[in-house]
Amino acid sequence: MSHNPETKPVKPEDREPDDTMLMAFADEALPPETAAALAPRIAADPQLSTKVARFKADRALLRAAFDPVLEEPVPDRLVAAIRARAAAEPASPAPARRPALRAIEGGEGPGSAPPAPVATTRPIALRRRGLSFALAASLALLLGFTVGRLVPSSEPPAPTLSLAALVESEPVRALAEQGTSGESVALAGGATVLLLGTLERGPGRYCRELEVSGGPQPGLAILCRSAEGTWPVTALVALVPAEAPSGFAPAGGEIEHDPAEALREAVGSLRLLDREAEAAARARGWR
Amino acid sequence: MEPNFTNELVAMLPRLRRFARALTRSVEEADDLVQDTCERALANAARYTPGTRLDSWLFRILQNRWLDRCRQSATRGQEVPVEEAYEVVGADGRRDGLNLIVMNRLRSALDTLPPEQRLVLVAVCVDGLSYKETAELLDIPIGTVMSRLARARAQLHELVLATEEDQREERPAHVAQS
Repeated sequence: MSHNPETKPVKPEDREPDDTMLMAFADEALPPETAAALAPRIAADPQLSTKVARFKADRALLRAAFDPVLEEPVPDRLVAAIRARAAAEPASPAPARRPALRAIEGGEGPGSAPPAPVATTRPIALRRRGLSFALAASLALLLGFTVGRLVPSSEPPAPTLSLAALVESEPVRALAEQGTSGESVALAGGATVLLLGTLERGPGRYCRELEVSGGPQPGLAILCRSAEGTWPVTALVALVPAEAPSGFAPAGGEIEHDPAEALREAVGSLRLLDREAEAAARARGWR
Repeated sequence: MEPNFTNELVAMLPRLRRFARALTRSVEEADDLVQDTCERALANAARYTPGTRLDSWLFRILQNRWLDRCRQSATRGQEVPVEEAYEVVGADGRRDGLNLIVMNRLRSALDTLPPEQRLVLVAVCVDGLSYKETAELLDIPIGTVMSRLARARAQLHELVLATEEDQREERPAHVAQS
């Protein structure tokens, strides 16, 4: 980037966004106008959108990993230890802020106020909406980039591993290379892989979206064609088995995204091709 | 001790436990850290300025206690199986077959982070503090928060996400990996 004294001063949103800036964008920590200016650039650049998707994914993963702790009952012995210690401490010389509450120890007697929940000033801790969806997206992304290493032949097939092995099998590769959306292939073990559609990641970069059903582990996968003509798994998500039909959608059902969409978001900006475009791309040998 | 203060402390326990869980390697270690933090808080309650945020004050104690522990235990504790270390039940209470694998990776990745980076990561990505709140909590400039956070997440990407990504470009993915 040359420095031309006649140009206007470079605004932050005009610079090539670095990782810290992309992180701040993903964390929604940028000033609104900077974020608004940056958004179209990110959307137009698969590399930038992948980075942003990763920052979102790792945050979502951490939230999903540790937020359940909030729902756990606090162990009685922890509370007891704290109360015992509090009883042993002399009264604080600091002035009381307000009349003492006695709800916890005294039970719910008439007139007793509930303990003051101090944390309520930060609604983010209570905002559980979309958590499961976020986890689905994170998992898709995480597994998408590690599938190669997750398929050691010696280990017993954990659900995801078997799913990964399944979609990297030869019949599925052939389906991805030659299939038309709506076609499916039956695999040993009772699984069926259905070709859902073709996605375009950028000029001459095509991906196929697949659904695995009927086997031990249902799931969705996106395979993106490499320059060498292989179809490595780029993203993969295992779906919750049939006895839990609502899958990744939380009970509230507020989420408009489904796992398929989560999966696409994890890969980055993708365009769904119609049947003609799909046929044309296949006829060109996916180039 | 003022019952009021104690009650507020107890009300903060879920958040303190979540924070501690992300910093430590087991449920026991986390709860021990939380108990330690609360005892410290009770012993020093006189130093707490009423009307200021109790959560910030407690988190500051917690992170100091944890950093002390990190310094003391250069020796690594015994490994705890991930099923015991973390709840692997999904947010809606269902067990998710994927969680265990990813949690295992996530946990090892967190363990490799330098303590200062891990603190920033947990404050922002687990507790949901803003960059500014994190800077105040740790008493460091906001730019340092961002650089530590970016480094921590780059490391997470590398360890949890993408170690094979580059090689995948050069190697057909369906060739069995040993």
